[in-house]
Amino acid sequence: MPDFKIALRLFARDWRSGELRILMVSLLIAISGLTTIAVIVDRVDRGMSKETSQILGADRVIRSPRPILDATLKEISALGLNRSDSIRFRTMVIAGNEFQLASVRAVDLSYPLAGELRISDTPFVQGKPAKGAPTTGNVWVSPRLLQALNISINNQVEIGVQRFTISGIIETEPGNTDFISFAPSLIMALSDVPATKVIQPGSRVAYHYDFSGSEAALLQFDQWCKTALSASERVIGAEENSPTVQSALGRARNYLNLAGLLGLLLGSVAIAIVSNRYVRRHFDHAALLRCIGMKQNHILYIYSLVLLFAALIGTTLGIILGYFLQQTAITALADWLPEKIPSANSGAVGLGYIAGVLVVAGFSLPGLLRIRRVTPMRILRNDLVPLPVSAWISIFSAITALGLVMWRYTLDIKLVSVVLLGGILLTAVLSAFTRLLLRFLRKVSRSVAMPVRFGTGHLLRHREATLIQTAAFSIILTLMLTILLVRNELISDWQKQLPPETPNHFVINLPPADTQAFREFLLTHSITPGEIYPMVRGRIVEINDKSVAQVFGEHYGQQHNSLRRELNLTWSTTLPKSNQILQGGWQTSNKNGISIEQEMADSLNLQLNDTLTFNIGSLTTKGTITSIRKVEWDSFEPNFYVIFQPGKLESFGATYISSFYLPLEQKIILNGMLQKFSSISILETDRILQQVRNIIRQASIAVEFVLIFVIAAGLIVLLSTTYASLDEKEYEAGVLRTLGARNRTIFLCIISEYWLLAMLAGIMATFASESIAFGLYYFVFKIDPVLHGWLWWLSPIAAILLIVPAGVFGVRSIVSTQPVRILNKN
Amino acid sequence: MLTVSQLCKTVTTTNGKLTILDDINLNLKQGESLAVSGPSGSGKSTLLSLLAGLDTATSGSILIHNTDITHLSEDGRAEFRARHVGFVFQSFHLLPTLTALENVVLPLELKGSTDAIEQANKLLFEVGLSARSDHYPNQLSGGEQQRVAIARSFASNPDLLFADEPTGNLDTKTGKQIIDLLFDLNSKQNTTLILVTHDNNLADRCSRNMQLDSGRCINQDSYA
Ligand SMILES: Nc1ncnc2c1ncn2[C@@H]1O[C@H](COP(=O)(O)OP(=O)(O)OP(=O)(O)O)[C@@H](O)[C@H]1O
Ligand SMILES: [Mg+2]
Repeated sequence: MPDFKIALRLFARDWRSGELRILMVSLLIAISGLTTIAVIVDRVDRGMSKETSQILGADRVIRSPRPILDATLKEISALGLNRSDSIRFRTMVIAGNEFQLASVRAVDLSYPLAGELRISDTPFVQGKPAKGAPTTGNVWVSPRLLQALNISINNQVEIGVQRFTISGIIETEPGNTDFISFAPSLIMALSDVPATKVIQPGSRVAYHYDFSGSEAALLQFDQWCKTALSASERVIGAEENSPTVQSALGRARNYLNLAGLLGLLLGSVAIAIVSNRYVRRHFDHAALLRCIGMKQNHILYIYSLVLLFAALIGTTLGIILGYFLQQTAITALADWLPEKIPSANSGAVGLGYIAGVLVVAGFSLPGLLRIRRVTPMRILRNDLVPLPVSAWISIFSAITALGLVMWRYTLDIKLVSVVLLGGILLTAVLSAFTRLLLRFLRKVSRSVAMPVRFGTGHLLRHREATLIQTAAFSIILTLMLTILLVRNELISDWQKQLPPETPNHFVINLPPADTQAFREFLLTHSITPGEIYPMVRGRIVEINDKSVAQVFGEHYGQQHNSLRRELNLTWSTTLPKSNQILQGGWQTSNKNGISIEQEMADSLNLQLNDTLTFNIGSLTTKGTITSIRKVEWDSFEPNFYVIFQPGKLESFGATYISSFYLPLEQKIILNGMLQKFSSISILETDRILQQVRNIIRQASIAVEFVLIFVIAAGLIVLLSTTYASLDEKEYEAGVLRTLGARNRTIFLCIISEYWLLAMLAGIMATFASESIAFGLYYFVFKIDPVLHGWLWWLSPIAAILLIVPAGVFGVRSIVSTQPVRILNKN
Repeated sequence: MLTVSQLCKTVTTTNGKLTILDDINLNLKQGESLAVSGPSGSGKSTLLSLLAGLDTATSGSILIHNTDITHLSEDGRAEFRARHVGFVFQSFHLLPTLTALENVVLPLELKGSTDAIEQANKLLFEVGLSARSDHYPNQLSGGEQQRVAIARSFASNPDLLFADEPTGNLDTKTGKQIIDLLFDLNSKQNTTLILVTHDNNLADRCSRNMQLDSGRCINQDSYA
């Protein structure tokens, strides 16, 4: 293996002389950036998942209509998860002459596995944290149940054949996010259930098995669930349980992934430029090797090895630095991040190596192929520069490398395709545009001062080099701007989604006659009433006059939520505020018309003009789909799958539903409200809302941090890009100096050149980032795209402020170096 | 016009101090020509760089037109070069990004000449390269590049022209053309010419001769 030794020696020599250092620095930036972001994203993401568990009360829940077999439970125990069993059922709770249907949770002593259970003595007052179940003979009840039964704490209630004492009032209970079962809740000990004799064969009971544990165990659990659960047993993860959190986390994840990708792209730009520079500077060396009899493929092999060594070392250092950086970041942000941040996975190491080697390979292949073509004649004629390989090969190899790394990183073909295709398209448009601008520049540059003309002339004469530099600068700027734009939209979208006065209480079962009085009640307490909707509960039984079982088979319930249970149906003359018509129109003229929600339409393959038959009580009614709506499920306002036109449902005896925002300090008025409107039920969502806000805030902080990191990486890459063009600049400055140019003149030349480059790059970058952001909003984040006027003037200015000083800083050494030194270097 | 006294240059290397030039003294009149010769590493290039103000001396003085350039600032020396000095290098040092014409125009523009292009064209004509004025250096042969470099060095109409082995990279015939050109312009513009050469014939054509060895002047004659 003499070639290997030659390569090793060449590597050692280039390492000492500093030739490879800049390549390593670029790799260091790219890989440490990628590693930092990948690890942070992963850790914060996992941390936020843990946080969502608090809402569910566990990491995973299995819900089953029958007790799960002991053997099965043993299998799960073997996975090393904590377990808490509970059963849920509805039953009448009786106090004297009053009775009320309650939603009962019979829990064991491990409840809750996550989140906080708080019990108080007085309704709507801050309670104390509690753990486990009430002691035998005692129950905890929600304020609504107390009110419905017209009793208070320490009174007795009957459940089945057993009497219980109310020993506490529930303030918050993890795991109760079921907005659909509007019955007030009651918590009792699991061991007390048999004595009540409530549960008989045929009773509708849900057996809940809560699990929590380490991520590894949960992963095994998820795997296990895929095969081991029967059709009637359903697993609920923390996130599926909360649509707002799910969508917020989904977007945050997309954003962070995107940021990681852009960081990688930034590094790639640097690596591309730097590896090219390395290869160029070795034409002479390659010519010498050819002269002394080395074959073309040997040259290729040796230089590939040298670059591979560099890639491996640079990547290793990058990964180490990346780990260090993310640890620092997590420590610094500890106060704002989820309480328990899981430790780092080793997955990022593999990702780092793959990315490092692939990117170096993809971006230096064109240069390597070129150095392979160096003729030995170059020893004699220095100007024999080997022809560059075809642009297609360069583009193809770079895109393949990037595509592979991005895919390995995100496992999201769609995101990768959007970024790559958009990138290619943009590059094509931009390079055409730059050519045009350069042509225009040529015309105007005739009549300016010498240094400016020199700088401009320099750009014009080197159209290809200028194009590449402009491209590099614009790509760097574009990436930074894109990440900034998307961050702005994301954060403002989140803020819009849950504005400070988001409704945090729902009222249901409001009798039609009381709606006006209810409104006034809220107004007298300075609370803004929300929309009030009528509500009728019904089940979809037929689609286009065929029963759902006929359409979707026995297990039609799996098709969509809307077939599994009774839906809240409403009617309205106007489209609810947060809804948006996607297909059809809001037709008030068609009395049979109904409007349905988009996801439901998709899952049930419903089209406009299809008819749905609903079972309401013992009666049925039909509607024809006239519009399909988008619904903001996470708006915390009453939302409906199906909205009828007025005139169709009134006869079914509707009650009304509404939502309103109640500040914490005013919660006590709920007691008065319940007294005044005795039939209503109040659902408190303020706790969940608080939790959701927390998670979104943490996601925002992760986003901000990553933004800063990407921008910083961008600046460093910008500097190293300018650094790569330094040799030439230095040499020119040296020659100018021997000819008697002053420093001022030299700097003016350099400034005007970079100024123009920056202008070009700034304009390009604005154009590019607007397009990319547009694509991302539309395809990935599903936010309404917008244009940003400010970008069009800010970005060129920012480009000039960044690039010109970077260029001047890069060549500042010229001032203090004797011209003879600079010339001797070449 | 050029008076050098007790010129020394030392550099600090990893092996301690290295004396490159040691006590050089020289006196030249306007229009004279000096050939500097000596073995490789004797300090010829260093001497030229110092005289042209491209490098700084450790001690001693260099008086040109009664100005001691060792006392000038970096920019002062640059300005001085722009007005008085031309330089021809062994490896040409043309800017690869400029055409032949633009390379010659450069010093004229630095001086602020209004008819820079005209003058540059004239100079290119004199070195016989009118037809190649739009070509880039890498499209020219070594001899042609050196002729452009000479045209450039004369563009600023210098009092002093330095040439460091101007023919070292060229074949004998082309080398002779280049030298003829140098002496031709030297006599036309009454320029003081200082050149480094290993060629005895060339040294003989100069009015003065100087030999360096290990940084010391071992033989300096002044006939003719
Ligand atoms: N910056 C420096 N640091 C260390 N040594 C230097 C430096 N500059 C020049 N030298 C040394 O000074 C000596 C003279 O160099 P110079 O280039 O002047 O020689 P020269 O006479 O022109 O040789 P040649 O005929 O080979 O061109 C050489 O030994 C060289 O290595
Ligand atoms: Mg020399």
